Amino acid sequence: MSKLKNISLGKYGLVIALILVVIFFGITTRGTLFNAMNVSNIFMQNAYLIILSISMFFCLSTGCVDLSVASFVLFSGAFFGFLSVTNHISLGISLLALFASALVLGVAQGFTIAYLNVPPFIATLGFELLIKGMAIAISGGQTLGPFPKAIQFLGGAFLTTKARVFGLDAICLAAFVLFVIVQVVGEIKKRAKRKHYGFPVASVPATIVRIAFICLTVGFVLLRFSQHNGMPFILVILVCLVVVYSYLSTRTAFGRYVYAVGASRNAARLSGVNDKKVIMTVFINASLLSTFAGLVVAGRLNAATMTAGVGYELEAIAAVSIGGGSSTGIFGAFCGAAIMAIVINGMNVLGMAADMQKVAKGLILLLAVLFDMYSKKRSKD
Amino acid sequence: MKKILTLVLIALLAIASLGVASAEEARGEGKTIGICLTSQALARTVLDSIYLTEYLEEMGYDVEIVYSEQDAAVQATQFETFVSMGVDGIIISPSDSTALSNAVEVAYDNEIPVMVYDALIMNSPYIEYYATDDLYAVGATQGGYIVDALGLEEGKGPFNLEIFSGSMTDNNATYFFEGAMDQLQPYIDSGMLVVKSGQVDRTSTATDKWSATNAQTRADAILSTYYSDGTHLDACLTQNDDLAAGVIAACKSAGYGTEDNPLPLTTGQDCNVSAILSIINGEQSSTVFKNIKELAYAASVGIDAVIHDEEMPWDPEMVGSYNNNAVDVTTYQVKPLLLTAENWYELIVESGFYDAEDLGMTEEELAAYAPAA
Repeated sequence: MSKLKNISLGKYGLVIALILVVIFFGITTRGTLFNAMNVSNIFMQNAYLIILSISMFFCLSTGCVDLSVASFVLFSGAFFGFLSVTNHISLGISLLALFASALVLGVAQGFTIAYLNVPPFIATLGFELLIKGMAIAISGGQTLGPFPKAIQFLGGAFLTTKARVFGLDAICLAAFVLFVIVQVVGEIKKRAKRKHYGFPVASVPATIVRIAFICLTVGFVLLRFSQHNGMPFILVILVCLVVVYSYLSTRTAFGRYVYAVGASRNAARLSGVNDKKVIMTVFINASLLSTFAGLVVAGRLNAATMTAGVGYELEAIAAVSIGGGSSTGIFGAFCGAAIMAIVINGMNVLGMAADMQKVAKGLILLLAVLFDMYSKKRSKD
Repeated sequence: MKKILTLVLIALLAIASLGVASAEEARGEGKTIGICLTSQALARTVLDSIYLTEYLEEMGYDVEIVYSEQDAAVQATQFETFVSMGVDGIIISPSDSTALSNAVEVAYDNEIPVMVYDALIMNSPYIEYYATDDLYAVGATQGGYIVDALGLEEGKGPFNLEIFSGSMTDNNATYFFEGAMDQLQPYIDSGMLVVKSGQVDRTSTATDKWSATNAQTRADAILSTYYSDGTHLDACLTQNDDLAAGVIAACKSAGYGTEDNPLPLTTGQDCNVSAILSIINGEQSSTVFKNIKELAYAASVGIDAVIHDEEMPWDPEMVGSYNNNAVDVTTYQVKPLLLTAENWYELIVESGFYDAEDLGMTEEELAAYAPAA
């Protein structure tokens, strides 16, 4: 029984850190952190961070680092703005052209790292400068806007519905019910599987408490959405992304290959894994995801600015590191992003000046990683 | 013999043509002006480079432009490189106002004229001439707009106001802030303007890097903390167009922008294309027009005069002086103008600042906006 607690603490260390952060800011903001508009804001302001964390997770898991994600975010807004806003090219063609160029850049970057063996740090740095320069050249240094309605919808819209059940937004309620069902059914299946193979399972009361806690938290968030404008559209997309990439990283061969390459590229190659292809794919994925993140950011702002994306690569690396890197999977990256999101939002609600925010961000990154390392170490003893 | 004669004739012809050329010699022929600008990513800087190049090349100068990307050390190096290259004049828009005093001294010792542009180099007695927009007046125009539009002078109020100022590392932002707050502070003190967030000083209202997303995030936080109880935000002092865009996006997300819940009044500066379009659409309320052409022209003829040791051709009405803690610097100040939905056509289109293509419209669409004669 006690052994079991130690096994799960490593992962829970992260969740505990998240809970502590929420409590801290909840108290210092005197509850404003939890109010309806702010909860919606937290998700919408930080959608980009979750997307970039997923992409950075795969990069870091293969042992590479990607410093160019921020420039893709900048390029995305600038190029799309140039096509759609300045030159009035239709939405479909603009999007096609945007992602096609992102693909080309991603292939070029992946090729440079995987096949030409340029160290990822240098290669992505070089591409960052290249892509940033292109973005500024294309947009002429101008802020480009307004953006087409569809992209504005992507970044900032809500799935509002007039339908109300028990006084709650119907979509949010449906989402909650769905979530609870998935959690309960999933847990039952997992327990059955573990029992079948003879692994120990946590006690029923402990499991019920855990599930209840998760469902209450999600329920609270959905309640807040219901009280504000409804389910943010981008959240639906984020959930799909997290589910798909989670599946990819844990249930497919490709996911295994990513971990294998990260653990030891030589060993993976000698075992028959096409390590070059894996790394190439990871960087192509990064370019497409960061381009998408750039559209989300520009869509929410309804403009492409030349300061878009500044510092995003470091935030994404921080989020994944706080999340424990490759050992905790996409869930870990998501938790890391959540911690950063709450911290950033909390500091803004408190009205902290920009300079102090930078100091605080750095400190929290260090503390969160130390706490995570400590809890992992304890679980090993 | 014939060959020698031909050669001599050609030589004579060449010498003669040189003589003709020198008679018409452009003022800047064979001379180079080095221009140090800040960030290539700013639309403002792009316009600076276009106009400066145009006016200087018209006078016959060769022009070399370098960008420091806001790095003070890089700019000092670029400046010193121009000096050692032996350029005939330097126009510098400092990214850090206090980091260039040594470099300017070197230029002075080498008798290279320096024209300071847009932001002032502080603490150096070695600069003589400065061309800028009247920074304080820019802020005053923004603050004044809010006072007029809300009717504060007639005693109307109280109104809710929030403040979004510029980057902490931009020295100009301090003047903008001062200019605006001198207009607004009396009403804040008397209670006719209420800043619910309490964020009224330079540090708490600053927006890192003048970034629109930073403004949007801060506006989100302020709206959800102080305005979610139904109170209406009436006006925002947004000190440039990007900040206005960020605040407007946050307000729209919070439900502003309808008949019953109109967007707050907003200000701005730089006259970005997206801001003009936003003003036409009725979202942004105003911006400040700074005639960059006039500024570039003043800087160009100014440095030309200094190079030729002539009297400054500046209109005395536009000339004032700024003190940089060491010396009073003769300054050409471009007066900023308030731009709103009423006068944008006149200021932007009729002056030739933007044309239909710049604004993303056809000629017919643009002509439709011309005010009825």
